[in-house]
Amino acid sequence: MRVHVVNSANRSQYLDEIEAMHRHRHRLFVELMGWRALASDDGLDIDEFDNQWATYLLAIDDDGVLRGSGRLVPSWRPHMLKNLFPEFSDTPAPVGPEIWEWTRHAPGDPLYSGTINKQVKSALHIGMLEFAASRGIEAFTGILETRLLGPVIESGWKITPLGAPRDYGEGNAVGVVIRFAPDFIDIARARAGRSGPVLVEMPCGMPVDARHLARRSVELAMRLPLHALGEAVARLEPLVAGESF
Amino acid sequence: MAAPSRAIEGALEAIERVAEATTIDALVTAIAQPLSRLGVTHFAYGQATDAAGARAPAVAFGRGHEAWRAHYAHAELVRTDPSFPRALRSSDPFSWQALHRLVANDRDAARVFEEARAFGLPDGFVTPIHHLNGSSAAVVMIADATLDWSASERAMAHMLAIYFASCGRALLTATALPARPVLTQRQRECLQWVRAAKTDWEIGAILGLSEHTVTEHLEAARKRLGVRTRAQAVIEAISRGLISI
Repeated sequence: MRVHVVNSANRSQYLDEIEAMHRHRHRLFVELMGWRALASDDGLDIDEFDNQWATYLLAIDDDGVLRGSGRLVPSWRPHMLKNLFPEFSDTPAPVGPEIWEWTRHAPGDPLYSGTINKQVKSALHIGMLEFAASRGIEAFTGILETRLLGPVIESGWKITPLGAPRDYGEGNAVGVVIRFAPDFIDIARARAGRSGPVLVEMPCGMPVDARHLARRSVELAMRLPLHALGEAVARLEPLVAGESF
Repeated sequence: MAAPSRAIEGALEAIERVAEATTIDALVTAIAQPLSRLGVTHFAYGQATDAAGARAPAVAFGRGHEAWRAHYAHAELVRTDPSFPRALRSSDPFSWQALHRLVANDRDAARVFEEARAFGLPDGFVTPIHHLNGSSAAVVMIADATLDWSASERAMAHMLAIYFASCGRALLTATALPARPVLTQRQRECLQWVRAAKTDWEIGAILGLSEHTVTEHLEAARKRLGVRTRAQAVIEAISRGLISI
């Protein structure tokens, strides 16, 4: 199980996985959790924050199957807490270069085995922290289901409410800011029994029509730790050279 | 957006102190102030069932009402208290007043609330807590007057209860568990060679150590991992990502 960073730069390599993510989100949030406001006839959950500023963390297993995801939006761009649900923060939503918003957390599926869901949850958890470290992020904001607040605190996150919990259409939620210390990554990795990174970030610049190449690079990347990505690129170069773009 | 009331502003600040508490005593002190502003005179966290779902009122902390607690235990009110089944079923908080109205026709169930009133405790607010390990608990806040809260005051009491329970739980778990064993570089190297089926003498030759020193490293590693045999130590170290497969 690896967590792939997908954004405007490299999304052309993940078109199938992105569609699988929107479908999985629709299944979880609309069909299972009953968020009717997100219902869509095409079975895809896509909202106004699924735009060029969004970064997705996609948990993809060793067979290339998407198992879970989360969405990150920089706080200096329009985001949910600031632009759609400002009432979840008593003071203006915290904004700054070190703050990103984490939304549409979709860790696994009731259909999967407990073991897989545990792996997805922990991979996304570590992936969030690794992504934060790579971008200098010090805090995530978000709107959390109130019933999940206790488990998040118990897991050791430093989570601070931005206001009192409120009812929304289908439940009760609370605006929060989650800060982390640098040693959170080590703790999370140790708990999951991992020694290396879970995050994979493919370089940009691959042509859209080279799907098989992209597929090959994703396969390679999944088998390599983050620091060996340079090597992956080196192994791809002869392949790319043989193609006539 | 309505201006948050003073009780609510104070509660948000108090939550930061609650989350930073390093002992149960500090936790209880930190939460007492915002709760008293909400009119809560006594409060307690109590475990209801253990991880296996068996009734286990073992762990408790807070500032309970001594006379009421003693009467509750003596009269075995736990047998008929409708708060129990209600709290085990759901994670939504409820007030004694509301539950009393629901069970008004059940003499035994209603008696609990009538007796509480006789103790000068006309109202209470119960937040069910479902811990990560599967055990269940509740935070009970009681008052010497009817709790006449606005929606956001109620939401804040709910959140204070979640923080109280989860932070308290995290503190108890942290003190109950030994520190995570981390192996030294040498211990990991020796284990790695045990994994490769080398004898202590061979490992000593490879690492430039005496056979005796290697045996000591392995013995220390075995103890730190809390296992009985070397083979278990290797498996444990692999599963925690301390050595490679």
